[in-house]
Amino acid sequence: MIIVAILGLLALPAFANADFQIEPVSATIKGNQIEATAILELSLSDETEEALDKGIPLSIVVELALLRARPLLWKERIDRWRFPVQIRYHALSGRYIIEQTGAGPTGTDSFGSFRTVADALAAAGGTQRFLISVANRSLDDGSDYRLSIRASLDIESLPVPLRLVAYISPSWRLGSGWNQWKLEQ
Amino acid sequence: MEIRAVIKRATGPAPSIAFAILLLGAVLLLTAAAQHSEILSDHFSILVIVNLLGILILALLIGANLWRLVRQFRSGILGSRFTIRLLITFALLAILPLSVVYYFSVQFLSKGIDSWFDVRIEQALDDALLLGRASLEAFKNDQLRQVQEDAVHLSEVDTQLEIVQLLDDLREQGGYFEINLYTQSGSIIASSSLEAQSLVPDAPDDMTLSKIRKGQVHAELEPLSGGGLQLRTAVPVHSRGVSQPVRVLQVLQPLTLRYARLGQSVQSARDEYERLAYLRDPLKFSFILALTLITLVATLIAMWAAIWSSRRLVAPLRDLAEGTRAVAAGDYNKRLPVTSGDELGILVQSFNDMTRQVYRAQNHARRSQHEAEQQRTYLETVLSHLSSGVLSFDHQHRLRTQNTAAKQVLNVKFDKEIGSHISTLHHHHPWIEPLVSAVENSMQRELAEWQAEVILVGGRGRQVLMCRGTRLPGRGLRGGGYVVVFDDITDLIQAQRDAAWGEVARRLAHEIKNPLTPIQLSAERIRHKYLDKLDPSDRPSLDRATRTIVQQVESMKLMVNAFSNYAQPARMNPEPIDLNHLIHDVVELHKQTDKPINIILNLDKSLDRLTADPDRIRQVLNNLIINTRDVLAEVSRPKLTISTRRITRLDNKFAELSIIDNGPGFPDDMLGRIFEPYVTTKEKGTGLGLAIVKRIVEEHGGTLWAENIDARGASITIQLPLDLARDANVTDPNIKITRLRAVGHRKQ
Repeated sequence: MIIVAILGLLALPAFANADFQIEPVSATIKGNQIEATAILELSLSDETEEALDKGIPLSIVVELALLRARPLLWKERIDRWRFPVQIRYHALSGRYIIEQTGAGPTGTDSFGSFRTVADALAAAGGTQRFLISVANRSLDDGSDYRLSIRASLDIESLPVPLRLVAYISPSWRLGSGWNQWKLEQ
Repeated sequence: MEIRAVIKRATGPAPSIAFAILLLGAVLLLTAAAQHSEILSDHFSILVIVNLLGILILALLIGANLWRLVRQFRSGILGSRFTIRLLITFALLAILPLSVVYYFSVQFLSKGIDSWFDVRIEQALDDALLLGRASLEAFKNDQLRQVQEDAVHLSEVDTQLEIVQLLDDLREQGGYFEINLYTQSGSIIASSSLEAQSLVPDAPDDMTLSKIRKGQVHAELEPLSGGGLQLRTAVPVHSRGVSQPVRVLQVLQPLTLRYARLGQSVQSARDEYERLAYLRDPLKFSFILALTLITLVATLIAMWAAIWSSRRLVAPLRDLAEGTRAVAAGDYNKRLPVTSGDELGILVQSFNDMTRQVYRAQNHARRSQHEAEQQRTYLETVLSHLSSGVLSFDHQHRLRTQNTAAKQVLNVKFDKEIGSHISTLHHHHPWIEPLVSAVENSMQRELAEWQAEVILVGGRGRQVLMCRGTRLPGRGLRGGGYVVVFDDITDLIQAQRDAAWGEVARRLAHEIKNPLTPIQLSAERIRHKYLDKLDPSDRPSLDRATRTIVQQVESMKLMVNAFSNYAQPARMNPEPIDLNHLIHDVVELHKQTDKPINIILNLDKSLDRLTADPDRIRQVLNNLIINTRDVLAEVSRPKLTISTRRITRLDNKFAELSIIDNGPGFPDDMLGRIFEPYVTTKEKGTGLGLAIVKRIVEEHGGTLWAENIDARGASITIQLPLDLARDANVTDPNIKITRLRAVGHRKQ
């Protein structure tokens, strides 16, 4: 019974408690490049904030997926991008650090420290502009392209002992769910 | 069937062992992942799901097996009870130690993790952090004070060039990394940085500017992206002129390497400890979960192994039980598969050897029984076709077997007498008492072999039996019983008598008849020569004497002729005759006599014509009717019934003629010899009437016998063959004898 319960919880939708909000603003295609703007509102639950204060770094991932609508068929996924943002607490300075390593939304690293969690989340969220390019494909073919976006807490980046708890507890399943908008040529 | 075979193969030992090993491997990987393995920790969740699915599949398989076992137990299938008992034993043996180990492991794990965290260490780390913060605070205050002094110096210069120059001087004097002057709104006025490439100064944020506008100062440590800390200090720069706005002086100073390293070390140790402390419960949960999964997998594998072992152990026993049942039901050809070389395999092999031996013995017994039955059938056939009667008795002198001839000779059915003691055999059949006495006497005397001639007098008249008895070999101390063989030699004696009478007739003809003619002629000559010459007084005497001689000689001639006719077979002229028509003719003749009797005819109209000499058959009918009429002379209401019918015996067809009267019947002492010459109850007559009847009937291949009727009267029955005489010369005595024996029903 315990096993079935655990399996059942794991099988639940990943973002039952949607504490992240994403509002698509615009998305346009230029050649094989997409420029999208969305407003992200991020907030943490008490449990995740407590874990952050206890030195557990949290990773918030913004995922983008380019889809092509097909008549009578499901949408074809053309490409997918992940933009992780890590937030951690610096005990010595008492500040919250926001760090985007590798590929930020604009393709550059960014680092910042903030006095409060809210400031840090506001810096990680807010109006975000995404510049992404699709390799080996031109998007000017007149197809009906859609862009999906979501933001979620990356449980797999948590320390191993915490992952099971995070999977089971709704307080840890933070996410916006997929939001989609049509790409304009 | 194919699906079942696939399922059976898939749930066989090899796939099950492979599955169990895979599951154990998955559990080990999960354990490694839980222990922060670099590679496996990324797949921790997948491993959990794989393990849970494996456990679920294993649990389902075990559940299905248990359900099947329960169904077999409810259906009373052989071996299910023992399998369940073994399964429970194995499961308890596996689960109980596992449960104990699990309990103590959880306890040790929980306490072990708790022991990692010490309040003193936590306090020390907190203190170290506070110490670090205090040290940094002192550094910060020194830095603030110095920057405030720099701000005073900066307030004394006005021109841009002077400001830039002063900033450079201050940066060099203070050893700052970067020093900048901003307006209240955050616009850069002048900047001096250690890194010439830094084109864009790190501007203070809005909160800092707001504080400056309020007249406050700002000094705060900030973490750097590459590690380390920098101190951001911002103070207001008041101008000498009242109307001039307040400016903002910001100094960025990274901590010295030593400070940074020490601070980072304190930070890292404290962070690690805090993280571990926070993760204490999830860590316990993960470890306990891994331990639970391992225990669960081990328990389920133990259960699976218990089911498999129980079935494997019980399978030969079940086969043995089924084999025993089959043997008990008579199937001795049952063979069981020998699946192992252990003691159970030896037991199964022994069972197979035993059933093989029993099967052979059974076959041998069956063959012997078959042979015995064949022998018995052969004996019964022989016995049933024997003309000799056979009776056998067991060691307790009870009748066991008898043959057909015995029934016919003794006129006893013997159906109810089987199993009866010999002393009781004659209770319902008194006429066989002499035979019973002779046999019983021999048994009591325990004679090994004996022979005796026994005379029975019953409904069929006088019978002479030649009996021979033999004691059968016994078994152990028990006697073996007796067998008695007897022959009805009445016919044989009769034939001997007939032969004797024939010889007598031939002698009479030769020795008596020949002298009679000279005697007669001599008497007539004496009478003719001397009658006239004698005195008249002597003449009558001579006349009487010679007449008497002639008459007596004539009478003797007639007697000798009659006897000669009887003794010598006459030439017959057989032809197809209608017996019923012949009977009508003869009866009609006798109705015209002086003393007619009531003759009732009961003739079978379907009677076939038979081949016979009509004159001889007419003589038979005349003799019988005359004989009967003489017998009925003194009966008040004489009645004679003549009947015919067609009978079939042993595939032979006969015409049966019966003459029944209501007279006094035959005397018992004469009944057996009534067809012999000169055996008669009448004072007159030759005494050859019935003897001639018998001879004619036998010359036609027929049989006849006389019986007394219980109520009153007697009967004479004649059976004449309907078929044989058509193809053979009935005068041939050999044919006659052969046929008589073939019929086997000859009666006197």
